[in-house]
Amino acid sequence: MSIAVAACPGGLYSPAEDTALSQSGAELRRSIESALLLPRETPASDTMTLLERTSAALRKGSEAEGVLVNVEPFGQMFDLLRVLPRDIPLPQIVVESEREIGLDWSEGSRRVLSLTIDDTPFIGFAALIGHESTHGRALFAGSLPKILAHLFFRLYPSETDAA
Amino acid sequence: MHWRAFRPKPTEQDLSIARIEALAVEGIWALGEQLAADSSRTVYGRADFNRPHVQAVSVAAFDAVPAPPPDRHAAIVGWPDDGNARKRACMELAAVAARHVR
Repeated sequence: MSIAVAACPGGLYSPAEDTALSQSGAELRRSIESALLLPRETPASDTMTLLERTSAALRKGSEAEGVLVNVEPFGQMFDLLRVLPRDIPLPQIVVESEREIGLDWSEGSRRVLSLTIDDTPFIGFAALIGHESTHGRALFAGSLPKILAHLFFRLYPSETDAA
Repeated sequence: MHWRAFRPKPTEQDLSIARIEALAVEGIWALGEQLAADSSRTVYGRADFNRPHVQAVSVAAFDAVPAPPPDRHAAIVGWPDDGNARKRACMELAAVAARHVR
């Protein structure tokens, strides 16, 4: 038996209403602003969706779990999202702890991938694709690690190039 | 049911579950609501699986064991310390569980 909790309603991010004045808030704002300058062509709707999901995750983490996540993982998250293949859909964003953000892709019960972003240069991963599962950590140095590229290729074979 | 529903908190070493053998469907839901009421939560659904499903997860020492009280309370134990390994275990278990919506 398992207990499911209804999802929180989506949140909206409005730069005009962002009154964060703390150092952490300013750094987060700069991360978001730089994310809007993605080198790859990113539809404005995708950017808004990403910001909405980030806002919703922050709210859920704060209200439901009492967790206020640090700003460093957000910068790492945006850096990673910049280098993803263009046609990979945006992930669901989950605040997992004060220093960890989860990025989830799910295309069925046996096609799931989750990345863990924290305040280190490493990206954690866990995946179940078909009957094969894996987990581990990969060093993120600005380009998509090969193991993650391979997992995205397995998850979205018709939309990505092999690493 | 999303695999995250199977994920214990990072600081916890077991996941509470309930033993439902020999219970009728309404009895299963009643048991769930009783357990949920203890923590002021609402039951929206459940995922059914057997002990061999748990033991088949690719984590050494992963198992489901009785853990009374209360009666029929059990726990999945043997969770690895590594968070990514925990996620992997959750994904494997969620994939074999039979889902039911309340």
